[in-house]
Amino acid sequence: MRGRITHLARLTALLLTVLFAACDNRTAEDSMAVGDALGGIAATGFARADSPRQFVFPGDHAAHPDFRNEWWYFTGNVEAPDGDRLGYQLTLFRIALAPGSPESQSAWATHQVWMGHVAVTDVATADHRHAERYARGAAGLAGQSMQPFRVWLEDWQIRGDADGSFPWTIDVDTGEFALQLTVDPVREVILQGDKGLSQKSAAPGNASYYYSITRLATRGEIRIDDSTRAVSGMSWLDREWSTSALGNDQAGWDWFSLQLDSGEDLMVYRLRKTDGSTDEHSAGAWVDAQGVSETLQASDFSLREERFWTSGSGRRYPVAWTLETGGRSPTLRIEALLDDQEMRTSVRYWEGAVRIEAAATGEHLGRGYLEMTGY
Amino acid sequence: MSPLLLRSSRRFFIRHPWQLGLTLLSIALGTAVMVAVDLANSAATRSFDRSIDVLSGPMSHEITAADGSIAEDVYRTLRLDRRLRRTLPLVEGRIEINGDSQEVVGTDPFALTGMDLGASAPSGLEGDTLRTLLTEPGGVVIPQSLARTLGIGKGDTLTATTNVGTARLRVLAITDPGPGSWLADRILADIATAQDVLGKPGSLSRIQLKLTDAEAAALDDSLPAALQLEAYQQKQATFAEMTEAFRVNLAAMSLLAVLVGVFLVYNTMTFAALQRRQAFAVMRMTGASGGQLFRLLLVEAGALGLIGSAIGVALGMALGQGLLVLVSRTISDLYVEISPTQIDLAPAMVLRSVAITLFAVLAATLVPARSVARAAPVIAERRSQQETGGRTPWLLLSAGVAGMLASLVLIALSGQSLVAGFSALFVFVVGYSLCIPPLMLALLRGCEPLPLFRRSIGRLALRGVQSSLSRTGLATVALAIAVSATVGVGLMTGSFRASVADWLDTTLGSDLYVSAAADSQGERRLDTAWLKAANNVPGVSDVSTGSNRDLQINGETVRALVLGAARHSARGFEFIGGNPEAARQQFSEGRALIVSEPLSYRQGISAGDRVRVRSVTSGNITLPVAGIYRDYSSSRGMVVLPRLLYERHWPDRDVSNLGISLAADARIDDVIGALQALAARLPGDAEVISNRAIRDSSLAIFDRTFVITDVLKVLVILVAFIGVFSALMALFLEKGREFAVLRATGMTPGQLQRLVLSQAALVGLLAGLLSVPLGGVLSEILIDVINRRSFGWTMQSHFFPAIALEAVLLSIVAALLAALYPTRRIGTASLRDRLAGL
Repeated sequence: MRGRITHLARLTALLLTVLFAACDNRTAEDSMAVGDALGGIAATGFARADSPRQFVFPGDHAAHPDFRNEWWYFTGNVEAPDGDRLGYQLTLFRIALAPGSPESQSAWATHQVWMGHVAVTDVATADHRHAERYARGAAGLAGQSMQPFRVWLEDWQIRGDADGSFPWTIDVDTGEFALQLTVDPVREVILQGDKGLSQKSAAPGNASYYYSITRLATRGEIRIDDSTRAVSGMSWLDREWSTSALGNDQAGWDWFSLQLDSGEDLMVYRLRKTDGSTDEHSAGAWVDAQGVSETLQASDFSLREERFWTSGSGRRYPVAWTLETGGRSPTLRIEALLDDQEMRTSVRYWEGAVRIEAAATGEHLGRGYLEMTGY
Repeated sequence: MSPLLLRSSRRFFIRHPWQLGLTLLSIALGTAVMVAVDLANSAATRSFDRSIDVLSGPMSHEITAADGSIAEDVYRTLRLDRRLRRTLPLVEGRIEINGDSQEVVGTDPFALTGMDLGASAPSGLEGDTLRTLLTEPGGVVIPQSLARTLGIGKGDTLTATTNVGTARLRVLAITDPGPGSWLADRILADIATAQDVLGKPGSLSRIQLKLTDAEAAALDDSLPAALQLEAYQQKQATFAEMTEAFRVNLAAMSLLAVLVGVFLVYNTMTFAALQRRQAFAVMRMTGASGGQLFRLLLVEAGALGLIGSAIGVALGMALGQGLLVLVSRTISDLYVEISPTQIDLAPAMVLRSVAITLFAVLAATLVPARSVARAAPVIAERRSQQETGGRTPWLLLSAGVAGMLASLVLIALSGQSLVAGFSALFVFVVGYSLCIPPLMLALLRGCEPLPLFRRSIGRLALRGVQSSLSRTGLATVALAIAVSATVGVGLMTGSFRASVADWLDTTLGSDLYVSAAADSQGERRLDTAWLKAANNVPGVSDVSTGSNRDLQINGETVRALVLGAARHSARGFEFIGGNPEAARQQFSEGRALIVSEPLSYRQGISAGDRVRVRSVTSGNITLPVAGIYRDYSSSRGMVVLPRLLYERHWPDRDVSNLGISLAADARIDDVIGALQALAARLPGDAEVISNRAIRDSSLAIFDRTFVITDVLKVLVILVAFIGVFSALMALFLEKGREFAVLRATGMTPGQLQRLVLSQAALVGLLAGLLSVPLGGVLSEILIDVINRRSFGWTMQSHFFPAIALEAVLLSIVAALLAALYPTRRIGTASLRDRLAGL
């Protein structure tokens, strides 16, 4: 299914973006050009997502190191007791630099590298903080383990019960800000695409294994500088692993994960080609209030930019949109809770909390997250 | 200043080119020695600082382990549990490529991300290289200089010999780091590759950190005892502190050159004033004031000082490059390995040297300038007044004695201050030098009754020297000081060497030593089979063990020797003070450690005290000190622990060397052969060295250390020689008319030459004789004050008559050489021309 390539596209484009972002805005000294090292890895020798597979949980929450890329992707909208809204993002990426494991006596030897992105948005103070980390997946520095269930990059970690069943805790401290959250699904796992095989083009193997949990009840604490607040709300988890990459004709995408107050969840993305047109692989998914999902084709929805914000780096991001869902919902107006939610990491992109309103009446309809790359 | 006066002085110096040239040369040499020592000292310190800067890169601290190997878990704890993000693991070692030893450093490139390294991020870790470092077995990044040497390029494969066999390395990239670039100046590999190639799985050589002071303090408190945290800045400070005594000693020697130069300037200016007494009298009578003449002389001196010091700075740069080699070698021998770099002339250094020279020159000119200014126009024309100076001998003598006494008081009161010690030394030299002219007069009077001086030429020579004392006196002082410096330094080095030789004889109690070669970590470990095997070698009666460690003693890292004594204590210690027998017993029973003299001096440790020690097994403990022993091996000081005591508080059982005593009937060559065979058979590299070889190489290092002292000594003598040369020459040239009269009254040129040479020899002899007592006192001050305060060493002073004799001969030869040119002129000058001048 074309629509299910979203996250694969996200990372691949992140890596591709490095190539043209490198010239102007990437802070090379921070990242030491790590992005370059993580792009352009040959697919040969890795396992491929070439046929539907049986997903087993909690076993499939664990890493699939035979595939080149994999991630644990959390976004969420939470609220402090005083009503202040906060958003957060935590993504741990696993990237294999080469298939297999090196022959070595050393505990440091590995082909696995981990990248972490974390961000928090405090709407009341118009404050967006973010951080990035890299570590090798060896010597206990980063990795994924089952006993207990753990995905970690140094002291940033997602931890669960011994067998990986929920609830999980998210524990991240960047020094500047910290997340300590417990997440517990209120919806079943959604297998994306064809029973979790997310085909991105006609060629066999050009696909990923992909599942989501669109609603996880979330509570815990968020600290920004010295101020710690208790929070509660709803998160979204995406899990995807794959080997193949997208073509070079894509400039970026706009990705929406929306949780409607009426109980439906909506995910859509628009892939933008370098010539500015919308790629036919653009797609989405509609999850009804009972948790039954339906795939959306590019023709099932339409997106229109309503307002732009220009970042200090000169990138012009559309921070307000209208979305037609083919009658599944009223026309939605989606607007950033804070214009500046740019991730100034080694690959720059925009990822942030959004509000959802009825375009016609302005009625509040829900919350979500928006990601925009390639600007 | 009136142009007329300036013209007159210019004309004077132009008409006396030798005097001008030699004065400038002596000023220049004094400055040159000072600049050279300054340059060499600062370059040596800077070279160390730079090497630390290169090592540290942008990091501020490092963690090292007492035994050179840090468990890799420590790093994870720092990064994950202590959340110290600016932390870098390093695995270091050496490998051999084409027979040349090369340094390898392995690190985790991902640890470097997110450190805000800016421009100091190591080059060569971009993109593909970063990836292939992790994925390519044996993948390395090498600096361009090495690639050029090896004639290899990107993608080539190297075969390296390592501790654990051979390794194939693949060149992933060639970087072109600037000289001394952090990490990238060596063969750079991923940490896993480095552990594999160097055979060090599980361990790190060093962890570098960038810490705030608060982080460092907190970390230091919680670090396991086997690890130590040190700030790079502290390393630099320690080096500066450690080598300070050595550098101060050199600086003092260079100031001696300036001091000798000051006497010469004083001499020159006095003489130049005397030579122009008529001209000055005329100037005074035609209206020049005393003040004008005073200023004239100061201007002259200032000009001489400026020109001389300018030449001196240039000379000093050339000399400094040479001295730097010696200074670096000595620092490498005595303290830590440094590689001499370029000298670098800082403007501040030039200013300082020129200022010191100018100050010295002007100060030296004050006395003659004042006497010129004060002389009444009429008196100025008469010479006898200034020549003899009336009651001055007594004044000089009392001032001199007072100076020497003041120096002794200063020594007594100044505790451990090295600078005060040198000040006292200089005060003593000045005091003594004040006494030289009166002493010379006395000596000359004492010579009168001697038969040698009854005969005509002898008497003439004696009288000649007596009458010209005001001119020759200062030259003699300069010569005597320079010669006394050689006597003092010679006696000190001689005594020192004799003490070191005695100490080596006492310390090297075993007949043979087996010493482990340093492995790639710089650690020396003998295979565990050695002890038993060595005991079984026929002819071996006893084996003792030794291990070198770095311990934290009273908060300071100190070298320690862990000694497992054999049945007969294989190493001798000469205990200083206290009860040697009790100390020996406590030590052999493993109850207490012993402390070397320099450490005891520096930290104020005495026998019976307890020292705080950071141990691995027992944490922070205090251990009793059995005694203080004589040791010249380290000026930083060290401790010796009995193995029994060490093993109670530390877990490692490694041995670095064995001391082997031979049975009475053993043939040493057979035992050496058997031990060498063992060395070839057992794992690891070990060397069999005889007692004699160690003694010889130790003394060779000792001698090398003092090469620089000898060089400076020669330079000081050179300055003095030029002074004497110029003073005597000027004197004899001046005396041309007098000599002409002598010729006219029947003296042959040959007789006249003999007269001049006799006078010179007499000056030389007197200077030489007077230099010996000063030299003796100087050596005592050097031994008991300077060396003690610099290095904490005490030593037996020895008197070497040969050195005294050499000094007298040196002095006479210098004086005779100085007289040669004037003598030749006397032989060739036309009598008529000379008399015509009358």
